Amino acid sequence: MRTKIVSALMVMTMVFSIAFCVAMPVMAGNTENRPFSFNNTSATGYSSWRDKNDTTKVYVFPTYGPKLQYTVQSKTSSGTVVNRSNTVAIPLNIQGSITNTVREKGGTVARLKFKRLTYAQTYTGGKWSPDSTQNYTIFN
Amino acid sequence: MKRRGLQITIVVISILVIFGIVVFIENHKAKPEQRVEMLYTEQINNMDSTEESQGNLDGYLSSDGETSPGADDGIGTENNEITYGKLIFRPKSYEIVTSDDKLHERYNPEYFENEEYPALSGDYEEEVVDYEAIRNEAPELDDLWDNKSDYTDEEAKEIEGRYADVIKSHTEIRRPGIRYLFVTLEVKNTEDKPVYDSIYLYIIGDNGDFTDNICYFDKTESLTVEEKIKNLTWYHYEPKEIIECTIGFALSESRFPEGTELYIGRIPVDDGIFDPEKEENIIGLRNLNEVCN
Repeated sequence: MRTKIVSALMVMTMVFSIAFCVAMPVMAGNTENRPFSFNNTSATGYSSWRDKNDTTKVYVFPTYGPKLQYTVQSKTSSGTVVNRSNTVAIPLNIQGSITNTVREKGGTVARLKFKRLTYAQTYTGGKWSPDSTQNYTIFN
Repeated sequence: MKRRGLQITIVVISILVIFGIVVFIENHKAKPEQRVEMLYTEQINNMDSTEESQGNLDGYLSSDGETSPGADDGIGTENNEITYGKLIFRPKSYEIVTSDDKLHERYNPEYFENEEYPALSGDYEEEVVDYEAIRNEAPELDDLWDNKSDYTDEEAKEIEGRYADVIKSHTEIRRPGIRYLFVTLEVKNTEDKPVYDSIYLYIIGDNGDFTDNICYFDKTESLTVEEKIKNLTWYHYEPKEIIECTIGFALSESRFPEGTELYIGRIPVDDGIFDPEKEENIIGLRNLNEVCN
């Protein structure tokens, strides 16, 4: 009798443990690429705000135009815009993954701040996403 | 015998706990994905070679140090139209889905970004952190997070480590309900040449929150999950082509609670809080037909 009770408890423990070991899904990352563009006749510029759902790196892939510097920005709970990454320069045709602290510091939206390196009457552009599924060339 | 049974039970429970910890860690770290650079680079090269890569990039123009709406200051909402560069979006109807039955009956899993039906209410986890409470209790964190002082990385880590218990005490895991919003719309290429671009639309709530995370597109050209995750709504439009399509958004109850007035459109490129009622490129869903099946 005692053996049967122990066996039953073991089975129940196994069942419940397996049930609770399965990780619950989380909201999907905002990983779709969207285009960005910046006119190098301006000193600085910004992309649109996009929602950021997880703590992955921001993906930036410049595909044409002069090299730029990029900073990931977010907003505090009071709406103040703050920098949430270092300012990094990503060369043309390099898929960059920018380390950031948007989610870690309470932000739910992100955008790119662009800063030109040299004046030019031409655009720099490419694609970016606030969340990513893998890391490429990491920019810390 | 009794002692042996107890020993076996302890061993089994220990193994299961260790197994559970390993599974938890594995499920919460970044998963390795197949490299899709060749395919993605091919798409980019195709874009550049046909000169349609600059399709709708004009929307991000900005002047010195300031932001401006750029080409987002388009035609506006005449006839419920939203202009974005070389495309015009005309939302026609919407449906909010809260049940699995309706989701399975009306929407094809192939067109979701993960090629499977998403979970509905109660099956998603969100980590909710009460940052205001943390900042009140730990002003040094407030200082750090808002870049008010110049801390090095090591100093920042030390400060956050010191207040780890405070952060933990104001963090909870919630399982909010999820509603799926599907919008049927027409998309028109206004150009006399091909355009390759994405459907870049936001769902905006009257509470100030917004999302551009489209999880469903029934005209997707992406064939695999890896492609869909990156390029779900990217589409090759023929000159002057008009397509009718349906896009879907997942609306978390915590961000878009029931009763929130919803809008669709393009948000302004600036720092301020905007009023969706006053923006030209934003349409209230109440102006569309609601599908109720």
